[in-house]
Amino acid sequence: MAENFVIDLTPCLTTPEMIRDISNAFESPEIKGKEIVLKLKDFQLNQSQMLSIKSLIMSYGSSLYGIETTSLITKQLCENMNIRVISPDVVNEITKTIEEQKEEKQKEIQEILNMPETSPVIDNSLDVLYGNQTESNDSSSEFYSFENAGNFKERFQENEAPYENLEQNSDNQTEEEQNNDYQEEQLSENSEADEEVNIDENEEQKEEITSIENETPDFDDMSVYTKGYDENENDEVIEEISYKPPTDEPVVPDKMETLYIHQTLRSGQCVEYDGHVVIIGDCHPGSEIKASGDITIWGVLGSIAHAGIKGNREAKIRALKMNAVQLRIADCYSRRPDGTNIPYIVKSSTFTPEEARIVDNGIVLYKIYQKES
Amino acid sequence: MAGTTIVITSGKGGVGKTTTSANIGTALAKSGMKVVLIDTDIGLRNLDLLLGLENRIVYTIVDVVEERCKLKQALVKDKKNPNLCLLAAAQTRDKSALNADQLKDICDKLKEDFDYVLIDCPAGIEQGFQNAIAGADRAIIVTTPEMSAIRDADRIIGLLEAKEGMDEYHLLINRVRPQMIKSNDMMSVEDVVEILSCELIGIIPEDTGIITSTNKGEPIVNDDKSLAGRAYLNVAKRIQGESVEFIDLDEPKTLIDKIKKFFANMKAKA
Repeated sequence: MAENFVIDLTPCLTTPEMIRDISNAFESPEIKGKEIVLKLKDFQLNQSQMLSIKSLIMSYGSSLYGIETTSLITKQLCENMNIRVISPDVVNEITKTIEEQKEEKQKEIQEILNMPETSPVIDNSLDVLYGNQTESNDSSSEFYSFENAGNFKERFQENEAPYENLEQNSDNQTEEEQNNDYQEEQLSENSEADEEVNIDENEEQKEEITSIENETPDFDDMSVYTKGYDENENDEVIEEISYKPPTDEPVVPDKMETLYIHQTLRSGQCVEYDGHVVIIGDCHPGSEIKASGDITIWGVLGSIAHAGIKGNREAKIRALKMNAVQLRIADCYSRRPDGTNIPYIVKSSTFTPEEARIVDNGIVLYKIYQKES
Repeated sequence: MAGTTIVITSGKGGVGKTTTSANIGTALAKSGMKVVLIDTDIGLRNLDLLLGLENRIVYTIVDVVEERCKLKQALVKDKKNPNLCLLAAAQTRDKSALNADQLKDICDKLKEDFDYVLIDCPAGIEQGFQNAIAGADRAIIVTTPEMSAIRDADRIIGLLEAKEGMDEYHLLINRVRPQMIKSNDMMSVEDVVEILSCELIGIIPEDTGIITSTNKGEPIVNDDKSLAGRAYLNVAKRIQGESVEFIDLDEPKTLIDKIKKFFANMKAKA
């Protein structure tokens, strides 16, 4: 008796469901080497169905021990086919013995291993690594960056689904306000410009843009850039982290969270995030990146990038190769000059990392690195 | 002023709807008409590329529908021709972002200010197609002399006939190769017209210049030397009600061809 296994088919209404349940049951390891008892209740089987079930069980290397049924027709059929008909009491006994065996086995396993429960210290550190911990705000600032490092993957996965929500929410709230502000400011800035068509506004800014492109990154630019970088970013940031404990002050851009994406953005894909965005990969034309903080792309930026969507004019856009169709920072806008022929494939040897910032209400590109020749 | 809305559709993809839209729009604008092009292929927009206006798009048709901007703010003026405007499609959304009534409203509003509203229809006969034809008074069905394109065009004509308010529709045969027709490898224009029993509005020859013009973002009608460009200009004239003869696609290209044709004509006369 102990070598029997009961498959409960009472919830099944059709034979395909039965076959599915039987094949599911054979996936469990306990069933190996046991003879099968089917629990059928009042379900009526005809000869061909019975044969197919029997052959299915045979195909798994097992055999049919018997059937528990209340249907007279099935009973008759079983007699004709030399299959045992088992009374419900016997089936109950079998299930009981099986369960007892299971419990015994589990006890044995526990005794053998005799493992103490995982220590709370390990648990906590794992939580920190995989981002289950919710007390991240209370932890010290030194720890903060480490936690972020652990959270990247998890956070991205979480954020993938809420993209739509994000989009919708921010569309309704921030985006709308932002865009309104944006338009008003543009209009007020260019009061002579026709209010009718937005291109008129754009043409006003054309000069700025062409000036951007004509600007050769000579030594002066570099010095300005490095000076600004060292003073404004590196030193101050370090000071803040080491001396100021996190308080309830409004969010400083440096303390924003970062979304880390390790994939190529293709046409039609849109990343929107309240914080910094780092993308390891290319951004193909037709995609969009919107962030309330900085945007950093380790690859070719060929799409629209909008940094500082909540009006942060200090936001920056960096990329290994700037081929962007449009660059927007806060309420500033610039576009690629017409007639620039961007090669279909950008060779990595021609990469010149650049950073876009707002200077005097215009977006200016600075070369971050230049090979000494 | 009350303008006309024309939808450019085909059913099958890749027959040249967007190219036709860009070129007819530019050609109409060249003749002094005020034209607006609407790209309804949301999620797979291309019309802005063909016109070279990709870098100027700030607001799209979805922004207009969702009231994030005014309709006039979303219109992008062409680089060369101030009579031509583009209402671009959103790239990061899909066809369900728009419904037929909304597009009809937009068309009705634009009709007040423009002579021609051209709608570039997406491929297929689903939501995108239904949206595009909703506000249209006329239709241009683009097809190529291939059985598959003709079959799809036939289906489209059936759907257009069933639609209320569609006054007229015309056929435009694209990518015609006179050499192949001569050698009986391609259906002739007459065959296509006979199969579809639909009035013809233009025959556009296959032209390698189309590829370069697409890559440059410069419609081919701006190139006076191109045969396809001239054919599109003629289509624009026919849309405005002029009767223009279909251009002779057999025009010899090289000097040797010209001499050959001259002698052939001599023989025929003798």
